[in-house]
Parts: sequence; C-alpha cells; structure tokens
Amino acid sequence: MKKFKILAIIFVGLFLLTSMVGDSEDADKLVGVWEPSNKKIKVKIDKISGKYYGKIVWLREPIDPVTGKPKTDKNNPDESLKDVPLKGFRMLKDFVYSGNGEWSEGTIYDPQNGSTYSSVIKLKDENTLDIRGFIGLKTFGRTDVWKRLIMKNKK
Amino acid sequence: MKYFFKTNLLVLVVIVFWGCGESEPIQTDLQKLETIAVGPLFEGVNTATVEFDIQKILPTGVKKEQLTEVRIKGIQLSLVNTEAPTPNSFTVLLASPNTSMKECGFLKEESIKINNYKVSLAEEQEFLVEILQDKMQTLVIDFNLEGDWYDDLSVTAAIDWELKIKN
Amino acid sequence: MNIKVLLFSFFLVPLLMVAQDEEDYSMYDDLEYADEGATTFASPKIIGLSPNRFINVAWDVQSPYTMNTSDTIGYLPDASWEIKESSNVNYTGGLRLNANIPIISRNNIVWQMGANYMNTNFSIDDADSSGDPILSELNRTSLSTTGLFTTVFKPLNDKQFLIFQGQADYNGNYTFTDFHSFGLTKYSAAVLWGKRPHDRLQWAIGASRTYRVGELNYVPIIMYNWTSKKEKWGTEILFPAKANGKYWMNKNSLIMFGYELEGGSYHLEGLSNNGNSFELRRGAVRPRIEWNRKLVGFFWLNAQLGTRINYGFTYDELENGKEFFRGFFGQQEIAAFSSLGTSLYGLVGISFVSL
Repeated sequence: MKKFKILAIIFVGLFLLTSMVGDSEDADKLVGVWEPSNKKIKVKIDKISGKYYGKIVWLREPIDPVTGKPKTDKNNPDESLKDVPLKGFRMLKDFVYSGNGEWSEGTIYDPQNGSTYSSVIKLKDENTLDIRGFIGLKTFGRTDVWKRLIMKNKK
Repeated sequence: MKYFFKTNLLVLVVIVFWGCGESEPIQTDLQKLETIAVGPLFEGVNTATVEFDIQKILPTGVKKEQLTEVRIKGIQLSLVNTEAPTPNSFTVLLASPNTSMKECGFLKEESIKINNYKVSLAEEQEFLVEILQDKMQTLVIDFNLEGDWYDDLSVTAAIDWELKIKN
Repeated sequence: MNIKVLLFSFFLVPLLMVAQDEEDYSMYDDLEYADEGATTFASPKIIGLSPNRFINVAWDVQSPYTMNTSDTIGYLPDASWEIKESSNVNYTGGLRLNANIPIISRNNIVWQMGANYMNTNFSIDDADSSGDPILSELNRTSLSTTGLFTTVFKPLNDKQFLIFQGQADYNGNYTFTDFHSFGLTKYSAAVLWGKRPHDRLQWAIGASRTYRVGELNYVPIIMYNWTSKKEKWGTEILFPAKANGKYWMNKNSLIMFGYELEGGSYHLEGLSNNGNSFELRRGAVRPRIEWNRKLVGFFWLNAQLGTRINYGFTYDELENGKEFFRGFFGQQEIAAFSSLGTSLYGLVGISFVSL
C-alpha cells in the first residue's frame, strides 16, 4: 500500500510536470524574429523573467530623411526619451502566455505617433501571428498579421 | 457623552494626519548590478539582464512597501569585457513581474565615443515606486553591437537611487 | 528501485530543460520567411492624419442672424421672390453625437459602423405673432437627424484601395416620443477608388449620392490627404464635402483650417398634409478654424470657430413623400424660399480617438 501511494505521487507529479513543460513550450513559440505585414521592420521577441518582449532589430528605412541620422523615438511623450534609437526599441512589452496560443496583458507602442496600445497576440499557426492593438475594449483596435523569419537555408 | 464624541473626533483627526505624514529620504549605497548577455552575440541589438531585489540595499528595518517616492539620480554603465566590441548605444529598462517594463534612460553614440557612460535619464519616473515594491526587479540593458562576439558580454550598472519612505 | 533516486530525477528534469535553452542569432539581413510573407496592404491611414474619432459629443451654436421667408406659393428654381416675413433668429444650436465603431479592423479590410444624432433648435422672434406657418413650425419644434452609416475600406494591394460608404438619415422635426414615418428616411452613398503612393499621401476619386447641400444630388468626389516630410503641415480634403489644411503644433495639438458643407432634407410634420411631405432643404458652407487638443489618454478636445454661410434654405412638397431629383438643372417647383443672414458659429466637443 505504501509503495502504491509513493508510485501514485510520482505519476501525478510527472503528469503535472509534463503539462507545465508542454505549456512552457507552447508559450515559447512566440520567441523568434517576426515581420509585420508592412515589412518596414523586423521584431525580435524574447523572454525576460517569464514575460515576452519584442524589440525592433531591423528597419527598412533606418535613416530619418529629415535629419539624415538613424531614426529615433522622436514621438515619445517623454521629451527626455526622444533620442532613443528605434533600432533596439522595445515596442512589444509584458506579454504573458494565457493558454490556447494566446498572449495577453501586453502593450504595443507605435513609434509613428508615440501612442501605446493594449495588445493581445494569437498564434494562428507556427509561423503566423495576429497582433491586435486596441484602446480599452478590443473593438477599438486593429489586427495585423506578422510572419516568422528564420535564418536562410535552415528550413 | 460630549467628551466621548470629542475624544473620538480628536482620535480621528490624529489618525488622518498620521496617514498623511511627510515622506522622509533614506540613504542607500550606490547599487552595482552586473547584467549579462549570453553569447554568442552577433552584430545588432542584444540584451543583458539581471534580477535583483531592492530590499537588499534598504536600511535595516525599512521595507520596500514603505517606499513613497523613487527617483534614479544617476546610472553609470561600464563594460566588464574590455576585449569585446564596444556597443554604440545602450537603453536601460526596468521590469518586474506585476508591472510594465519601462525605459529609464539611454546612452547615445556621441557620449560613448568620448567615453562618457553616464546614462541620460527619463524625466518621468513615477512608475519606479510600483516596480520597486514588487517582489523582485529585472534590470534590462539593450545594446547595439557593431561586430560579432562569441562569448558572453557583461555590462555593469551603478545606480544612484533617491528613495523616500512614509514616516 | 531506490525511491530517493526516482524522486531526485523527477525534480532534475526541469533543470535539464532550462540548460538546453540556447538561441541562434544571425545578422537580421540574412533572414527569410519560415513559410511565406504576409501580404502587404495599403493602410487606411497616413502619417499625420487627424485623430480618428470613435465617439464624439459636441455642442454647436450660432450667433443671431436675420431670416427672410417667402410666401408658400410655388416657384421655379431660379425665380426671384419677395420677402413675406423678416425675422430675427436669436438662437440656433444644439447637441451633436457621433459614434463610429470598428466591426472588422484588419490589415486586409476595415469595416466600421456608426450612428449619429444631431439636434438644432431655433429661437425666432415674433414667430407665432407673424402668422407665418414656416416660422412658427421652426420655432415651435427642433430639427433632428438620426443616422446610421457604414464604411468599408478595402485595400486591393499595397498601393490601391476602395472605399464604400452608405448612410441612412432620418431627418425631421420629430421627437423621441413622436416619430414620423420611417419611409421618409434619406439614403446617401459614396464609392471611391484611390492610391497610397507612400506613408504621407493618399488620394482617391469617386462619386456620391448626397444631401449635403439640402436636396438630393449626385456629385464627383476627390479625396487628398497629405502630410509634409517634417510631419507639420498637410491637407485633408474630401471635396466637395470638406477641405482643410492642417498644422501640427506638436503631437498633442492640431490646428485645421478650411470649410465643411452641412445640410439635409427635413420633414416638417406640422406643414405636411394629405400624405405629402413638406420638407426643408437646408445647406450651409462653414469656413472655420478648428483646434484639436489631447486632454488625457485618448480623449481629445475639438473646438471650432467660423462662419455659417447659407447655401440654401428652401422648401419642397414631396407628393406622397416620394423623393425626386432636381440637381443643378431640374425645373421642379420649389414650395417656398428662405434666406439666412451669415452668422458666426462655435462648436466644442470631446472625442474618444485613435491616432
């Protein structure tokens, strides 16, 4: 009886562990380099302390045509942060995996107007994301399709 | 009976004023945090992080939940690996499990070229109280490398905090 | 088996998982799609466009002016007419509500539906004592517009797009406890085809069925939205309905200057007999300066100051309530005329917007 109880504990523990591992694997499917549908930037999503963040790692037009210098976050509402380079800028923040291929509680920043929107991400398939930015209710928002990028010759 | 009401009113007034007590500054040492970006690192944007708990530098008897005002007076960055390529920009951010990640400051290429590693700080810092009161904090440093580096890269941040607690 | 070894290995497994974690970086120019790229579609917005209002509440008011009214004897459209009554209109104004809600908002299609309500009260001196039925009716009641509309923006590719808008307006001097026939609803529509050559320019041409200047008309439309390289100056034109220049003082404050056409056809219940609909066809041109300013978050203030110039204030009797098309050249009889002196106007509103 005692041996049976110990075995039962082990099996339950292993079951819970595999569920957690499975969940963790699903959550980490967001990690990688992605490209929005306008193809103007590439965003690298990584995990820091259990949450997911995305930073701009490439810009199609990296130079500001007015200043002739690398683009910066000139529309940031905080004057002191207007010179932060856009390359490396964290435009996706604080996403938490909520199960079923969805990440929520995050925000997406639009450098074109300095606005931060609430955001949710849904994994449509292994290589496609629907990212929705919204204000207050999800209705007041817009969804964009992002595609995964990988290193060349490594399919 | 009249003394009963007067006494209770007096107690209430004392409680209200006690609750609205002034904040007082507390002294802390310069906090040195070593962030690490795990290699191999390639040309472009990379990230170094470290987790910490502000409680460790607070004076004995002071709890981080007592913090009412927090400002960063200064952040000085330094590279641990002197052989590694020098990044041409840094952005410093703070995050914690139950708050949003926020930019605290950045370092421009022009400053780095003249060996000035003092970070330009964000003006708005009201978010820091909530971050420091959380169970733990993560310091994030995003930096842009101009060349490849096949090893880890560490950036040390010396943070000079200005902290106030409720009396 | 040693149970301690089993339990230890049970806890070791997650550590092994973490140790395997490694990322493979590359220069970001050397990336390719995992399967295929997303199709790029023209965005409905350009850089520097004025805030898109989801919900707007405003109050509009005009300064006093003179209203001259003819007899109700029937006139040809270009006939001259004599003033039967001349009155001072002390007050013209009322509430304006507008909601424009996205139903589908994705990169390949945007579909919005909305509703609007506009109310205009008149306070006319000596309206009742004049004996003029039109003045009396306008003074006694208020003009209301309740409308539903839908807009679809469909990008065809990364440069071209189509816009369709349809609208149904229920106009008249009804109240919410006394509705008139819904058969008197007026329908408008517009279709445009356009191009978005780059992030600071979009233009389109099309055609519309409109009541903007009071009576039914079919007019071509030109849209031209442009922002300068420095993202300060620009235009937002939807000709002939409205045309504005704009200047962004900063990211939270926008000045616009131009004009807008306003109007509609309103059923006047008290003057309608024998199943006919006596309708006021009013249209006005409003040149103005508008200031838009962020208040907090996504709430913005908008304030307008300008003049209201009368384009038309005529009356038609619609047989059995059936609409007809006169256009610019038709010779159908006009029941009566009014002319309104030019007035100043002001409007203040608050909007919930998206940039």
